[in-house]
Amino acid sequence: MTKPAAPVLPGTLEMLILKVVSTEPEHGWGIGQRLAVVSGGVFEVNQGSLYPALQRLLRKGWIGSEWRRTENGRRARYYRITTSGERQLAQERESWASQVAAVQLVLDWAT
Amino acid sequence: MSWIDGVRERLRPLLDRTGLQAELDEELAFHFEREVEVNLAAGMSPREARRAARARMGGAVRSAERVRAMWRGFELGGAGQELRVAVRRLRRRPGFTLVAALTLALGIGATTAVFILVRSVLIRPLPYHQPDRLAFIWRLDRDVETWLSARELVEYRAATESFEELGAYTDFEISLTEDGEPERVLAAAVTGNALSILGVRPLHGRLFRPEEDLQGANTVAILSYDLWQRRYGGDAGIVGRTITGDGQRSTVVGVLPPDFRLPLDFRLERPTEIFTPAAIDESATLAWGSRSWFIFGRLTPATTHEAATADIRAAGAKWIEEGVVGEGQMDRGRVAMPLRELLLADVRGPLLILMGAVGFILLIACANVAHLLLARWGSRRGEVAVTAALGASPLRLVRQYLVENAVLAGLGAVLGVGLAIIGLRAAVAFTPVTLIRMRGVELDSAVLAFAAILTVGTTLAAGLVPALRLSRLDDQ
Repeated sequence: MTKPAAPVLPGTLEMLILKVVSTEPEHGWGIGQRLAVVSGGVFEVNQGSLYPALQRLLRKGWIGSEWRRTENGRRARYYRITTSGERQLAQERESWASQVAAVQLVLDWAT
Repeated sequence: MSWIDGVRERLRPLLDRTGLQAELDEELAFHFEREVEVNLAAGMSPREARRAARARMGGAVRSAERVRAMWRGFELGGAGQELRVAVRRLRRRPGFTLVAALTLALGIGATTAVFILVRSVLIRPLPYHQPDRLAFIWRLDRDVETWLSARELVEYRAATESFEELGAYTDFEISLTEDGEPERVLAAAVTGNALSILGVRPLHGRLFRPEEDLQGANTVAILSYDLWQRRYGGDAGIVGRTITGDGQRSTVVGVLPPDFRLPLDFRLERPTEIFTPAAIDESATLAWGSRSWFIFGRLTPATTHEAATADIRAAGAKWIEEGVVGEGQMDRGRVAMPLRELLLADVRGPLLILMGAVGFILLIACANVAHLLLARWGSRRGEVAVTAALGASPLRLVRQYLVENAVLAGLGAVLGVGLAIIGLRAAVAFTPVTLIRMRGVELDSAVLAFAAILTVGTTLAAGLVPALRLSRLDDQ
């Protein structure tokens, strides 16, 4: 990895978690790994933020959880997205896109 | 996941804390193992691998703590923090806190005291078996104690059908002179069925047998619990022993349970302590005019007190018509008086008025505290403005003040209930005439529940208006 690992942008962790578990159920450690790999090693999720974030999402009803066996037969808690979570993800994607575009506009603004 | 799962997930911190904790521990342990595996795969020694994982997991403890803090937050809705803030604020102004809490304590204490009184006197059932089916045969003007003749008892038994059983008792005094100090105690001569009509079960021994009632001579006796404890040391061997009352020897056949009193004894300072058979000789010609008995009975299940009244009046009218008894001897104004009515009619009105009066005292206390709060919170405008500017919503501000006020009311309630208990105990100990059925003054769940309701009501009554006014600074 050439780029230094960085914490996830404030306020985006929940959206990123939703995205990760929207493809298939994943356990906490797996979510962290997936975020690191997919972001090309940019994001390193501190598990001190990860598990509280998972709890918040559970509480909002955007993800559900169940205990399952991993391939190695170890018990792990898997999180999956719920219908309302999918709706939420779609909304956040939209607003994120418009925000990014807006930020880009400002940055590209030439005086 | 349905909304039900969502609700369950929300309630879990409240209902299943250990389960949640265990799951979190297992989840974090799993995480740790994965980290170790990765490190091993990268070629570290097992020891190194574990150390590196622990270093990376430095947040593990923190993570668990943060999650737990979240659970706590769900639980109290942030009230825990506000409670601490409220206590701190109140402690900063001890004078105000003391005055406000004492004011509320007086209001809550007085109301609770009267509640205890009303409950033990008016609401709690009378201590007899199915007390609502008991009736005393009474004259209409109940200010006078209605003694009736033994002849009337015997005739009612034959002429009426409203009663399962009719019995009678009469009170007198007796001097106990056998071993120990001579002592004068209240006694009652009771018909053989009188005690069983009331539904009392003897603590030791038995009640009277029908033949003992007929035998006449006072050869048997039953003791009250207090007399048994006081004079005979609570010795269970008393049953079968002989005692001497007014120079006459009787065999003790039973001891009654601690709280038993004859119905009319609730008006007396000292209850009846020794019971002997009435020995009404039904074969003899009894005089209508010799009135010395309280007659009472248990209604049949199908009868009402009104029907029983009609029944005894019809019997009386018939006797007069037949010329068995003169109208003067047998006035018609008899009623089958419900026991409850007989015992409580005189106290119900005053007690309810008292209840209303203390209710007003509590309201006045609330109003005073509300004024105190307004005055004091008025001086806190600046602080409120800062809190609001920092982003506290009006709702949150109101909540904060109500929490503060609830702490005050809680203090007041604790002090008040204490005052109520002490005051009532003193009142019971010093009143010359025993308040009807006001024996032990105890804190029980009903009293605590009542005080809790008062506390919540007081919090809202005294605090809501000031809190609302304070939170809407921009309106002012």
